[in-house]
Amino acid sequence: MQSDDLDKLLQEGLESYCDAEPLAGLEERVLRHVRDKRTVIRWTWFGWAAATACASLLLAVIFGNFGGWPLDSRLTKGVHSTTADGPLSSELRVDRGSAAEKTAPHISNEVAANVPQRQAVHAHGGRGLVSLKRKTRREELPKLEVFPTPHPLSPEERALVEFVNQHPTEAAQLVDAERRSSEPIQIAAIHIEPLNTDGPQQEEEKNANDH
Amino acid sequence: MGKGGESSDERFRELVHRQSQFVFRVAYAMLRNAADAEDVVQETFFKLYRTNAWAGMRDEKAFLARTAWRIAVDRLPRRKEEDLDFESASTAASPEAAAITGNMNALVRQRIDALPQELRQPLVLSALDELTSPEIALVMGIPEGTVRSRLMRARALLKEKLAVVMDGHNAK
Repeated sequence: MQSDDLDKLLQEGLESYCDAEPLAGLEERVLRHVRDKRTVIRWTWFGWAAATACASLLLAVIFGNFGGWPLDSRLTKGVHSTTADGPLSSELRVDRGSAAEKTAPHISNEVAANVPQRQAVHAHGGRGLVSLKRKTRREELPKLEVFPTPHPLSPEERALVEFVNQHPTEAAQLVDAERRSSEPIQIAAIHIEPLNTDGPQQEEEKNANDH
Repeated sequence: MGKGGESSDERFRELVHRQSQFVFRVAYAMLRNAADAEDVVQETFFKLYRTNAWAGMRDEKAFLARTAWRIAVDRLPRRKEEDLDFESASTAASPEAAAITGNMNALVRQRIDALPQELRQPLVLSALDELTSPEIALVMGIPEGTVRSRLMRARALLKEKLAVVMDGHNAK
């Protein structure tokens, strides 16, 4: 077989590689494909953005709460530590409130005024609010004029006051006895007669004279 | 979308209408399967749109052909594995049988497909009238001289093989 025939054969074979025609409407299908994919990508981006925002919000809430609890409990302890003493705590709280008002009425007013602020700050729950909370709490803590803080009477003290009111004489005696018991013990000077050191013979003479 | 976006979309639409047939032929020359070639066309244009690379291309044909060629090359081994039985069923007859039946084109295609990829790819791209040797070099990312030498080697090898087959057929 001649070279020209082979070239012709080869050329015919190669032409079959480029004689294919696409189905009608290729351009429209391509454009539709691009449009669909673009929409999918946009929705994907939107989904990611929404998920990121939700995750950020969730983290802010979680860390805000965890960051706020210890401070809140500390503050609450500071406020209520003066009240939680015993079974009469509810009753005593009232007394203490009144006592606090009596001793430093402006303090209780400040605390009462700051309670809604504290609750509002806690309701935000954001981590970025922690510093704001701390500042607010620093402002909330009252500066007392009397140190230490005047405490209301304990049950024992109240019982003692009642006893003094009912039995003033006995109470006075008790106080007197208490005072005396606390006074230093006075011991009178001891006077000791000097011993006779003249010797046994003089003593015998003396005894004989006595007889 | 703003005015600029609309004009950009319009220009892209024009590009698709202008070049989609050419991109299809490049993909078909590589894959020899119309459905796969259309997938490559869609992927090529979407890739161009997504990366916005089409707006700055200088040699439009070479750029599109290169993009399509790379996508087709990526699909080539997979397509062969998937479609070997289906696609080559009609051309799976022996060279002798093909020659006997007079289906010379099938014989030539079989020989071309049996070439190593480094020879086959420039050869099938050269079959496209739209692509010259410099453009094939640009598409494949190799020097033009290498393209020419590969084309010569591919043709020589094919002629040699075909001559053997045809001589054997004539002898019978």
